[in-house]
Amino acid sequence: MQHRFNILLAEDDENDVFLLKLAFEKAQIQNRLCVTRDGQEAIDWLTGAGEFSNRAEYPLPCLLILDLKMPRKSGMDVLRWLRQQTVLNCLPVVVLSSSAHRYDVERAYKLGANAFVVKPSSNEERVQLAQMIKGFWLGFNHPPVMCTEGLEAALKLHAEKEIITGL
Amino acid sequence: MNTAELHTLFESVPDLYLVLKPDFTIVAVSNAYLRATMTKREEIAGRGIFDVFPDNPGDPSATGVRNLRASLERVLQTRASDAMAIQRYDIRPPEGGEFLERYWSPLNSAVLAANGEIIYIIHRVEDVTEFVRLQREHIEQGKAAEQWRTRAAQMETEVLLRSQELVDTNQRLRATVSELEAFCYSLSHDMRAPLRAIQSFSQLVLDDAGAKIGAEHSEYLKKVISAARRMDRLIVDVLAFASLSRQKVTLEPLDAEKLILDIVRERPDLQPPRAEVAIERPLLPMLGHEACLTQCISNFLENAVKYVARGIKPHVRIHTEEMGDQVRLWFKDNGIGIDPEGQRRLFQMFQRIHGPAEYEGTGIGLAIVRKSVERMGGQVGVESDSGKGSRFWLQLPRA
Repeated sequence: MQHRFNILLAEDDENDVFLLKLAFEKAQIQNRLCVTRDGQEAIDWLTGAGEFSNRAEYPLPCLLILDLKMPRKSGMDVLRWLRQQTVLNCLPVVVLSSSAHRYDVERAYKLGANAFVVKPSSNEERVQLAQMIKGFWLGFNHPPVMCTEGLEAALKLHAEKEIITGL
Repeated sequence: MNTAELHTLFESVPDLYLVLKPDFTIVAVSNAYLRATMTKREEIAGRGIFDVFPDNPGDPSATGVRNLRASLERVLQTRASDAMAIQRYDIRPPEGGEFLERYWSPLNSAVLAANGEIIYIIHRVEDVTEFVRLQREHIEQGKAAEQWRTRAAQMETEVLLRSQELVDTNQRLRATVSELEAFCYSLSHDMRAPLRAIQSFSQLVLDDAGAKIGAEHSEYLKKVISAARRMDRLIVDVLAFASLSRQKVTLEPLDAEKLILDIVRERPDLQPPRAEVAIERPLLPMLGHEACLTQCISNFLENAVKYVARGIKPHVRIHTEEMGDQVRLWFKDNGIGIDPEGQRRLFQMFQRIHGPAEYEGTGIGLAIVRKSVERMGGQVGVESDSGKGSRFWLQLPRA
């Protein structure tokens, strides 16, 4: 099973964007891959600030693929911000970094990343990664309500159920 | 009391007395005076005082005679007592030779006849040589103490300056280290990105247009890809090497056999039918850091199966040897061996014995091994007769 939600990729390197898009195509991922070019843009997209308020064109994603080294706001900045939000903090995040720098790995998880992946060097591996994202994050994994039913529904659910705030 | 008794009485007073006529000839002397000046009564009686006690010819600045004469003259003129300041007036030892340094505190007073005429001058002295010496020592000590105080102050200043320098150096070092870390970070992120692009786009061209560009140009593209991959591998290895010095290394007893078996189990190139890794049991327990030792063993095994002549199946025999309070872990292979010059360079950074066309490698693997083992308090080495295989070893503290 594969749900047809959107994926948001925050990545400043055009080559990496192009290559990942290509890998997604090769893995036959139907989900729309949206791209922001830095961390601030990712935050604006997620909050629906300014032009991003048009949710038809800039929909909320069900998965954020986050590069770490980006201008304006880094991936770590985005993570830190995201996990402080009331409902948006449920968004699954896969960190995609150039290296498995041990401090980066620890800090990313500490800040609430759901996975940490080192960018593959070869096309073959990149397609493998895309297939795994498809199989796990877009397949077996159940995303939170904000991804499936929207932010409004998630807000309502969070407000009415004590269990959730109790979490 | 008769005159003789009076003489005896005078001569026996414990103080130093000399009685002079107004013409400064000596008429009487106390025994104490004779002892202090190392003279004998019969030698000085009737002689002029300055004849008996001349200035020290070895001391050109001697003022004893002049001062004493001036004092005596004053007594003759004023008829009053004249106390002199402490005088240096050296004496001639009876056996001859150098004068002996002496200090005196003299008092000269007149003895008047009934008609008021001066008939004698009593010259009374005190030997204050010891006092002066003590005084001088005291002054010297004071000077020395002063010097020490100055030295101590200088040293304190020096220490302060040095510690300031140390603080500065430390700060610079810390800045360098953080710069280095920033450099490593950049190396691992920014420098790998272009390599990733080179590899990936070349591969894309190769995949999509390989047939169109032909075999020769496809081959070129493959070279581009493998060069980029090699560069990427280099960066990863350099970073691993650099992080070794920052990593904290704690030692614990390790079972080398278990580590070896784990490594072999994960790598088909170390297993039959491709290779043969044999352990001569039991391996002595050693102290090490598990991740570090695993890395070292892994590097040794990888090399052992890599550097073999074509068509030869790699055989590695592993055993331990006791070396005092350390244990040496041996890896004997049937590889191509290393000549003595190669053995010398082998464990250094970026040293490769073979070109990349013969055997792949970055020239960092054994440098990592050496640094890892050194961080664990051990040593590494190799023995080899070219063409007859190599015997690599690493040595760690006994568990």
